[in-house]
Amino acid sequence: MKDNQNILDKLNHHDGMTVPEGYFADFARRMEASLPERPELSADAPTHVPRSWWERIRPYAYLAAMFAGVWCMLRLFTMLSPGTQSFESNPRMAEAFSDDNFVNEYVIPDLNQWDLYDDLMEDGISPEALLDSMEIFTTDSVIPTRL
Amino acid sequence: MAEIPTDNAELVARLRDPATVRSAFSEVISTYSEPLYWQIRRMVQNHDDANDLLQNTFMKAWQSIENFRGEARLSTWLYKIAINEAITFLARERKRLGISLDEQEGALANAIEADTEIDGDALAQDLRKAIATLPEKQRLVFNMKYFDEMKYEDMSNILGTTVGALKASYHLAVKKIESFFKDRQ
Repeated sequence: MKDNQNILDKLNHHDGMTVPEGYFADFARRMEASLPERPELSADAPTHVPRSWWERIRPYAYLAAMFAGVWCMLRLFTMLSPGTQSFESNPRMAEAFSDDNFVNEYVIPDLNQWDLYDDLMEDGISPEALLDSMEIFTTDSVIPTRL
Repeated sequence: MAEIPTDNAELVARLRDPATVRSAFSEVISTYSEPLYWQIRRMVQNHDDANDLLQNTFMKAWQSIENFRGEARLSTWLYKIAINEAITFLARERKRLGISLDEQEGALANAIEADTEIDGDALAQDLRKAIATLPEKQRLVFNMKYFDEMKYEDMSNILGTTVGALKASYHLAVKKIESFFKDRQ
Protein backbone atom coordinates (compact mmCIF):
# COMPACT_ATOMS: atom_id res chain seq x y z
CA MET A 1 0.00 0.00 0.00
CA LYS A 2 2.89 2.28 0.86
CA ASP A 3 4.29 1.77 -2.65
CA ASN A 4 0.94 2.64 -4.12
CA GLN A 5 0.73 5.79 -2.04
CA ASN A 6 4.15 6.71 -3.30
CA ILE A 7 3.07 6.44 -6.91
CA LEU A 8 1.29 9.78 -6.65
CA ASP A 9 4.37 11.29 -5.01
CA LYS A 10 6.62 9.65 -7.57
CA LEU A 11 4.63 11.06 -10.46
CA ASN A 12 4.82 14.51 -8.86
CA HIS A 13 1.69 15.90 -10.57
CA HIS A 14 2.84 14.62 -13.95
CA ASP A 15 0.27 12.97 -16.24
CA GLY A 16 2.37 12.39 -19.34
CA MET A 17 0.14 14.42 -21.66
CA THR A 18 1.71 16.75 -24.17
CA VAL A 19 0.57 19.28 -26.75
CA PRO A 20 1.97 20.05 -30.21
CA GLU A 21 4.92 22.43 -30.12
CA GLY A 22 3.92 26.07 -29.83
CA TYR A 23 0.31 25.09 -29.35
CA PHE A 24 -0.62 27.66 -26.70
CA ALA A 25 0.95 30.63 -28.48
CA ASP A 26 -0.71 29.54 -31.71
CA PHE A 27 -4.03 28.95 -29.97
CA ALA A 28 -4.03 32.46 -28.46
CA ARG A 29 -3.36 33.98 -31.89
CA ARG A 30 -6.10 31.94 -33.58
CA MET A 31 -8.57 32.58 -30.80
CA GLU A 32 -8.02 36.33 -30.76
CA ALA A 33 -8.44 36.45 -34.54
CA SER A 34 -11.68 34.46 -34.40
CA LEU A 35 -13.37 36.61 -31.76
CA PRO A 36 -16.36 38.29 -33.37
CA GLU A 37 -16.79 42.05 -33.16
CA ARG A 38 -19.13 43.18 -30.42
CA PRO A 39 -20.12 46.74 -31.30
CA GLU A 40 -22.56 46.81 -28.37
CA LEU A 41 -19.56 46.67 -26.04
CA SER A 42 -17.88 49.71 -27.58
CA ALA A 43 -17.45 52.83 -25.48
CA ASP A 44 -19.87 54.93 -27.56
CA ALA A 45 -22.65 52.34 -27.45
CA PRO A 46 -25.49 53.49 -25.20
CA THR A 47 -25.18 51.65 -21.95
CA HIS A 48 -28.71 52.43 -20.85
CA VAL A 49 -31.65 52.27 -23.23
CA PRO A 50 -34.49 54.45 -21.91
CA ARG A 51 -37.59 52.45 -21.19
CA SER A 52 -40.83 53.34 -22.91
CA TRP A 53 -43.97 54.39 -21.03
CA TRP A 54 -45.54 50.96 -21.62
CA GLU A 55 -42.41 49.12 -20.45
CA ARG A 56 -42.49 51.11 -17.21
CA ILE A 57 -46.13 50.42 -16.39
CA ARG A 58 -46.26 46.89 -17.83
CA PRO A 59 -45.63 45.04 -14.54
CA TYR A 60 -48.35 47.05 -12.79
CA ALA A 61 -50.76 46.50 -15.68
CA TYR A 62 -50.13 42.76 -15.52
CA LEU A 63 -50.64 42.79 -11.77
CA ALA A 64 -53.93 44.67 -12.12
CA ALA A 65 -55.07 42.30 -14.86
CA MET A 66 -54.25 39.34 -12.63
CA PHE A 67 -56.32 40.73 -9.75
CA ALA A 68 -59.19 41.53 -12.14
CA GLY A 69 -59.02 37.95 -13.42
CA VAL A 70 -59.13 36.54 -9.90
CA TRP A 71 -62.08 38.81 -9.04
CA CYS A 72 -63.96 37.72 -12.18
CA MET A 73 -63.29 34.08 -11.37
CA LEU A 74 -64.54 34.45 -7.80
CA ARG A 75 -67.63 36.29 -9.07
CA LEU A 76 -68.29 33.56 -11.60
CA PHE A 77 -67.91 30.85 -8.95
CA THR A 78 -70.26 32.73 -6.64
CA MET A 79 -72.87 33.05 -9.38
CA LEU A 80 -72.64 29.40 -10.34
CA SER A 81 -72.46 28.11 -6.80
CA PRO A 82 -75.66 26.40 -5.54
CA GLY A 83 -75.26 28.36 -2.30
CA THR A 84 -76.51 31.48 -4.04
CA GLN A 85 -80.02 30.06 -4.56
CA SER A 86 -82.83 31.59 -2.46
CA PHE A 87 -83.41 29.96 0.90
CA GLU A 88 -86.98 29.05 -0.10
CA SER A 89 -85.58 26.61 -2.67
CA ASN A 90 -83.49 24.93 0.01
CA PRO A 91 -85.76 22.60 2.01
CA ARG A 92 -83.60 22.74 5.14
CA MET A 93 -83.48 26.51 5.12
CA ALA A 94 -87.21 26.78 4.40
CA GLU A 95 -87.91 24.50 7.35
CA ALA A 96 -85.67 26.54 9.61
CA PHE A 97 -87.32 29.81 8.58
CA SER A 98 -90.80 28.39 9.21
CA ASP A 99 -89.81 28.06 12.89
CA ASP A 100 -90.54 31.37 14.73
CA ASN A 101 -88.07 30.60 17.48
CA PHE A 102 -85.29 30.18 14.94
CA VAL A 103 -86.19 33.45 13.29
CA ASN A 104 -86.39 35.27 16.62
CA GLU A 105 -83.13 33.80 17.89
CA TYR A 106 -80.95 34.02 14.82
CA VAL A 107 -82.51 36.12 12.10
CA ILE A 108 -83.71 39.12 14.11
CA PRO A 109 -81.01 39.47 16.72
CA ASP A 110 -81.09 43.28 16.74
CA LEU A 111 -84.25 43.78 18.73
CA ASN A 112 -84.62 47.35 19.80
CA GLN A 113 -85.81 48.51 23.15
CA TRP A 114 -89.38 49.06 21.88
CA ASP A 115 -89.61 45.47 20.69
CA LEU A 116 -88.38 44.29 24.07
CA TYR A 117 -90.87 46.50 25.84
CA ASP A 118 -93.71 45.15 23.67
CA ASP A 119 -92.60 41.57 24.25
CA LEU A 120 -92.55 42.10 28.01
CA MET A 121 -95.98 43.73 27.96
CA GLU A 122 -97.36 40.89 25.83
CA ASP A 123 -96.02 38.43 28.38
CA GLY A 124 -97.76 40.38 31.16
CA ILE A 125 -94.60 41.75 32.69
CA SER A 126 -94.39 45.43 33.45
CA PRO A 127 -90.90 46.70 32.61
CA GLU A 128 -91.10 49.28 35.41
CA ALA A 129 -92.04 46.64 37.97
CA LEU A 130 -89.26 44.48 36.65
CA LEU A 131 -86.68 47.24 36.94
CA ASP A 132 -87.94 48.18 40.39
CA SER A 133 -87.52 44.62 41.53
CA MET A 134 -83.98 44.63 40.15
CA GLU A 135 -83.37 48.04 41.71
CA ILE A 136 -82.02 49.33 38.50
CA PHE A 137 -83.72 52.51 37.53
CA THR A 138 -81.28 54.83 35.92
CA THR A 139 -81.69 57.47 33.27
CA ASP A 140 -79.42 55.63 30.85
CA SER A 141 -81.31 52.40 31.20
CA VAL A 142 -81.75 50.53 27.94
CA ILE A 143 -85.47 50.15 28.63
CA PRO A 144 -87.58 53.27 28.49
CA THR A 145 -89.06 54.12 31.87
CA ARG A 146 -91.88 56.17 30.43
CA LEU A 147 -93.51 55.95 27.09
CA MET B 1 1.60 21.85 -15.67
CA ALA B 2 0.36 25.43 -15.68
CA GLU B 3 -0.66 26.95 -12.39
CA ILE B 4 -3.86 28.91 -12.03
CA PRO B 5 -3.05 32.60 -12.45
CA THR B 6 -4.19 34.85 -9.63
CA ASP B 7 -6.69 37.53 -10.52
CA ASN B 8 -5.18 40.72 -11.75
CA ALA B 9 -7.25 43.70 -10.58
CA GLU B 10 -6.02 45.89 -13.41
CA LEU B 11 -7.00 43.26 -16.00
CA VAL B 12 -10.45 42.89 -14.46
CA ALA B 13 -10.92 46.68 -14.53
CA ARG B 14 -9.95 46.75 -18.23
CA LEU B 15 -12.44 43.95 -18.95
CA ARG B 16 -15.19 46.11 -17.52
CA ASP B 17 -14.21 49.15 -19.53
CA PRO B 18 -15.78 49.10 -23.04
CA ALA B 19 -12.78 50.94 -24.45
CA THR B 20 -10.30 48.25 -23.38
CA VAL B 21 -12.42 45.10 -23.17
CA ARG B 22 -11.13 43.52 -26.39
CA SER B 23 -7.45 43.95 -25.66
CA ALA B 24 -8.03 42.82 -22.08
CA PHE B 25 -9.80 39.69 -23.32
CA SER B 26 -6.83 38.89 -25.56
CA GLU B 27 -4.74 38.98 -22.42
CA VAL B 28 -7.23 36.66 -20.72
CA ILE B 29 -6.80 34.17 -23.54
CA SER B 30 -3.01 34.25 -23.28
CA THR B 31 -3.10 33.93 -19.49
CA TYR B 32 -5.79 31.29 -19.01
CA SER B 33 -5.63 29.12 -22.14
CA GLU B 34 -3.02 26.77 -20.66
CA PRO B 35 -4.58 26.00 -17.24
CA LEU B 36 -8.04 25.73 -18.81
CA TYR B 37 -6.72 23.48 -21.57
CA TRP B 38 -5.24 21.00 -19.07
CA GLN B 39 -8.40 20.98 -17.01
CA ILE B 40 -10.45 20.14 -20.11
CA ARG B 41 -7.91 17.71 -21.53
CA ARG B 42 -7.81 15.69 -18.30
CA MET B 43 -11.56 15.32 -18.53
CA VAL B 44 -11.90 14.41 -22.21
CA GLN B 45 -8.37 12.90 -22.67
CA ASN B 46 -8.13 13.73 -26.37
CA HIS B 47 -6.16 16.78 -27.60
CA ASP B 48 -8.44 17.64 -30.52
CA ASP B 49 -11.56 17.55 -28.37
CA ALA B 50 -9.83 19.61 -25.69
CA ASN B 51 -8.78 22.16 -28.33
CA ASP B 52 -12.37 22.51 -29.60
CA LEU B 53 -13.76 22.80 -26.08
CA LEU B 54 -11.19 25.42 -25.13
CA GLN B 55 -12.24 27.49 -28.14
CA ASN B 56 -15.89 27.14 -27.12
CA THR B 57 -14.99 28.19 -23.58
CA PHE B 58 -13.37 31.45 -24.66
CA MET B 59 -16.08 32.10 -27.25
CA LYS B 60 -18.77 31.75 -24.58
CA ALA B 61 -16.81 33.91 -22.18
CA TRP B 62 -16.45 36.60 -24.86
CA GLN B 63 -20.13 36.45 -25.79
CA SER B 64 -21.12 36.98 -22.17
CA ILE B 65 -18.25 39.19 -20.99
CA GLU B 66 -20.72 41.90 -19.91
CA ASN B 67 -22.10 39.38 -17.37
CA PHE B 68 -18.75 39.22 -15.66
CA ARG B 69 -19.08 42.01 -13.11
CA GLY B 70 -15.93 41.29 -11.17
CA GLU B 71 -17.86 40.03 -8.14
CA ALA B 72 -16.54 36.49 -8.63
CA ARG B 73 -12.93 35.79 -9.46
CA LEU B 74 -12.13 35.77 -13.16
CA SER B 75 -10.47 32.36 -12.87
CA THR B 76 -13.55 30.93 -11.09
CA TRP B 77 -15.82 32.24 -13.83
CA LEU B 78 -13.63 30.83 -16.63
CA TYR B 79 -13.18 27.46 -14.89
CA LYS B 80 -16.93 27.14 -14.48
CA ILE B 81 -17.45 27.70 -18.20
CA ALA B 82 -14.65 25.28 -19.13
CA ILE B 83 -15.86 22.52 -16.80
CA ASN B 84 -19.42 22.93 -18.04
CA GLU B 85 -18.17 22.60 -21.60
CA ALA B 86 -16.24 19.42 -20.74
CA ILE B 87 -19.12 17.82 -18.84
CA THR B 88 -21.63 18.73 -21.55
CA PHE B 89 -19.28 17.25 -24.17
CA LEU B 90 -18.97 13.98 -22.25
CA ALA B 91 -22.76 13.78 -21.85
CA ARG B 92 -23.19 14.44 -25.59
CA GLU B 93 -20.67 11.70 -26.36
CA ARG B 94 -22.52 9.22 -24.12
CA LYS B 95 -25.73 10.04 -25.95
CA ARG B 96 -24.07 9.80 -29.38
CA LEU B 97 -22.47 6.44 -28.61
CA GLY B 98 -25.48 5.18 -26.66
CA ILE B 99 -23.40 4.30 -23.59
CA SER B 100 -23.88 4.77 -19.86
CA LEU B 101 -21.73 6.78 -17.46
CA ASP B 102 -19.97 3.57 -16.34
CA GLU B 103 -19.36 2.43 -19.90
CA GLN B 104 -17.75 5.79 -20.67
CA GLU B 105 -14.81 4.78 -18.45
CA GLY B 106 -13.94 2.17 -21.07
CA ALA B 107 -14.27 4.73 -23.85
CA LEU B 108 -11.94 7.11 -21.98
CA ALA B 109 -9.43 4.29 -21.40
CA ASN B 110 -9.47 3.64 -25.15
CA ALA B 111 -8.94 7.34 -25.80
CA ILE B 112 -5.93 7.29 -23.46
CA GLU B 113 -4.49 4.26 -25.33
CA ALA B 114 -5.02 5.97 -28.68
CA ASP B 115 -3.66 9.35 -27.54
CA THR B 116 -0.53 10.33 -29.45
CA GLU B 117 0.14 13.54 -27.51
CA ILE B 118 2.03 11.79 -24.69
CA ASP B 119 5.60 11.74 -23.42
CA GLY B 120 5.80 7.95 -23.18
CA ASP B 121 5.87 7.75 -19.38
CA ALA B 122 4.15 4.39 -18.72
CA LEU B 123 3.45 5.14 -15.07
CA ALA B 124 1.81 8.45 -15.95
CA GLN B 125 -0.23 6.64 -18.59
CA ASP B 126 -1.41 4.19 -15.93
CA LEU B 127 -2.34 7.08 -13.66
CA ARG B 128 -4.51 8.53 -16.44
CA LYS B 129 -6.26 5.17 -16.78
CA ALA B 130 -6.74 5.02 -13.01
CA ILE B 131 -8.24 8.53 -13.02
CA ALA B 132 -10.53 7.54 -15.91
CA THR B 133 -12.12 4.89 -13.67
CA LEU B 134 -13.27 7.54 -11.18
CA PRO B 135 -16.79 8.94 -11.28
CA GLU B 136 -17.03 12.22 -13.18
CA LYS B 137 -17.21 14.57 -10.18
CA GLN B 138 -14.48 12.70 -8.31
CA ARG B 139 -12.29 12.89 -11.39
CA LEU B 140 -12.79 16.65 -11.51
CA VAL B 141 -11.95 17.02 -7.84
CA PHE B 142 -8.86 14.84 -8.12
CA ASN B 143 -7.58 16.71 -11.18
CA MET B 144 -8.07 20.10 -9.57
CA LYS B 145 -6.41 19.11 -6.32
CA TYR B 146 -3.61 16.84 -7.49
CA PHE B 147 -2.56 18.48 -10.76
CA ASP B 148 -3.60 22.12 -10.28
CA GLU B 149 -3.02 22.10 -6.52
CA MET B 150 -6.12 24.23 -6.21
CA LYS B 151 -7.35 25.31 -2.76
CA TYR B 152 -10.50 23.57 -1.57
CA GLU B 153 -12.16 26.98 -1.14
CA ASP B 154 -11.55 27.82 -4.81
CA MET B 155 -12.78 24.39 -5.88
CA SER B 156 -15.86 24.92 -3.76
CA ASN B 157 -16.63 28.17 -5.60
CA ILE B 158 -16.19 26.54 -8.99
CA LEU B 159 -18.02 23.28 -8.34
CA GLY B 160 -20.64 24.61 -5.92
CA THR B 161 -19.81 21.85 -3.40
CA THR B 162 -18.86 22.21 0.26
CA VAL B 163 -15.22 22.02 1.29
CA GLY B 164 -15.97 18.99 3.48
CA ALA B 165 -17.54 17.10 0.58
CA LEU B 166 -14.60 17.99 -1.66
CA LYS B 167 -12.08 16.72 0.91
CA ALA B 168 -14.04 13.48 1.24
CA SER B 169 -14.28 13.15 -2.53
CA TYR B 170 -10.52 13.68 -2.97
CA HIS B 171 -9.73 11.17 -0.22
CA LEU B 172 -11.96 8.57 -1.89
CA ALA B 173 -10.38 9.28 -5.28
CA VAL B 174 -6.87 8.73 -3.87
CA LYS B 175 -7.98 5.45 -2.27
CA LYS B 176 -9.45 4.24 -5.56
CA ILE B 177 -6.30 5.15 -7.45
CA GLU B 178 -4.19 3.32 -4.87
CA SER B 179 -6.34 0.21 -5.17
CA PHE B 180 -6.18 0.47 -9.00
CA PHE B 181 -2.38 0.20 -8.82
CA LYS B 182 -2.53 -2.48 -6.13
CA ASP B 183 -4.78 -4.64 -8.35
CA ARG B 184 -2.36 -4.32 -11.23
CA GLN B 185 0.58 -5.64 -9.20
